[in-house]
Amino acid sequence: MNQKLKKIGLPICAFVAMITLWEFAARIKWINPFILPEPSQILNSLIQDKVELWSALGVTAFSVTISFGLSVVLGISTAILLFTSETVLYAFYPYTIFFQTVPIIAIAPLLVIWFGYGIPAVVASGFIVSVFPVIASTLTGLLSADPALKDLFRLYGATRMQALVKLYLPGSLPFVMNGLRISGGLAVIGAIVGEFLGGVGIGSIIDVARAQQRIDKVFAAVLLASGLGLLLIKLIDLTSYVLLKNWHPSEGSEE
Amino acid sequence: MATGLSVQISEVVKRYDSGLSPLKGVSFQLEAGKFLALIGPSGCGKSTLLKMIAHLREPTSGKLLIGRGEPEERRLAYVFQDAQLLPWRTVLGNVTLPLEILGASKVEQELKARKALERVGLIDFEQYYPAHLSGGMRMRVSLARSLVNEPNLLLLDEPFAALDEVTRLKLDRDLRDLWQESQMTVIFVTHSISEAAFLSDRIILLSKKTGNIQYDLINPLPSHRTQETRALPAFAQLTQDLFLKFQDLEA
Ligand SMILES: Nc1ncnc2c1ncn2[C@@H]1O[C@H](COP(=O)(O)OP(=O)(O)OP(=O)(O)O)[C@@H](O)[C@H]1O
Ligand SMILES: [Mg+2]
Repeated sequence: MNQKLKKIGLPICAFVAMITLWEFAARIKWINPFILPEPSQILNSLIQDKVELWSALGVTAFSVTISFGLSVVLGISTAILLFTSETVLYAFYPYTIFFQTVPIIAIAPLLVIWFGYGIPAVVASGFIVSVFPVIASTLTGLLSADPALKDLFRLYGATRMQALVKLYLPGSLPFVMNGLRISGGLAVIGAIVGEFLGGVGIGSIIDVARAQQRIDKVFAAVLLASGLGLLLIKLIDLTSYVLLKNWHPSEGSEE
Repeated sequence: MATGLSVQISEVVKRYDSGLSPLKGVSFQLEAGKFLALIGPSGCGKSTLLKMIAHLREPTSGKLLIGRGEPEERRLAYVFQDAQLLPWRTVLGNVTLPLEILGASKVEQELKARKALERVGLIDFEQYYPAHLSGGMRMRVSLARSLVNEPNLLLLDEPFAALDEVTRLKLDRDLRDLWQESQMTVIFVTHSISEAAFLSDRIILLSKKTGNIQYDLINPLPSHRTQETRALPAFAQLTQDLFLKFQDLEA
């Protein structure tokens, strides 16, 4: 209990102390408010621009959900496809690694040309950066099945489908969840980058507010975007806990 | 209950790509329903031989005939050194696995799995996950899984090596009893001379140096084995005899 109090209480104390110090430093003009607005101003923007900010956040959340959802479904299916056919694996796996290194910021303008302004370009941008960690981690999970268990399935004459469903897929779950954790954060970043150019959502607000030198609004928007990322990652953590709590040491079955 | 399968091995050679050749022409015949203990120093090829008998590995040359060689009559089970359970399945789910793969009905799966769990004394733990069991209990689950399809050839590769001695002696007795209730053939790989002596009808000692059988003997102990068997002079003599043969190998 005491430990729990420390774990929650201490970060809150540190947060309050830092915010107070920051506010104080800004008030007595140690910090230029055009570079770093004081916390009360950011709060003010959060309240004053709340309709605009929250509806933009809704748009961003929508795009992130679609791109992350696509990444999960297509990423896992692609990994299974790569896993089931050695030919496909050798032919395409090097490219999945290559695509992972493509800088999204550089191709975002192209996405706008291909998909037009608005949500489709944003979804594409979020999807492109978040799908590869899912493919890579799922494939790693599928390939790291225990050799003795593979022998066991062969001994009982399991079909490839049975082995996939009863051995490879469940065994890869901890790897998949790790991949999703990375992918979720990237989906938010990818979507915001897309929105810079796509002209919608929180990314667009950041872009416009920056141009208007409304640094407080930029910060308010960034805060909301981070909150969105955090929420997504917490949801993934929760899913991971529910799925793995009984059997995987990373979720505390060792107690 | 089905009769066990005989095993005929002739001139089996296994050479790995590394050039290493642990088995250089091993031959023996095992009658149906016997309990064979396979012992030998580490690296002499015991696991390799067992996997070839299970058709999990191919011999480089030579022949292995299991029963009459018909795939349909073969009902094998294999127990590994560590329990090798599926951690995402409950105890019951692990034990039903072989039947599930073979396509048995749900009712039959659970009926037989519960019977197997009862035989290894774990019926109260069917909803537990492997992570919440002790090493000995996990091994029992593994044993129950291997019994659930009523195998006619049971292969065990140092199954109890990682357990504490009391648990191991208990499991040895249980295994011997289980075998006597059935008619299955058992091949049991172990490092332990006294375990081999206690369990088997027959003991084969493999040599690492020659890559062949060094010693092949019929176990002279009475077929009904209890804890007291270990105190018999015949038991002491057998283990001493095996120990000396083993020592010759290492020299
Ligand atoms: N897949 C493999 N590739 C190459 N060499 C192998 C392979 N598997 C086993 N070996 C080698 O073959 C030899 C026999 O291995 P095996 O596992 O059958 O020995 P073992 O008698 O079971 O030993 P232990 O008692 O330590 O389990 C060893 O020297 C090992 O290094
Ligand atoms: Mg071995």
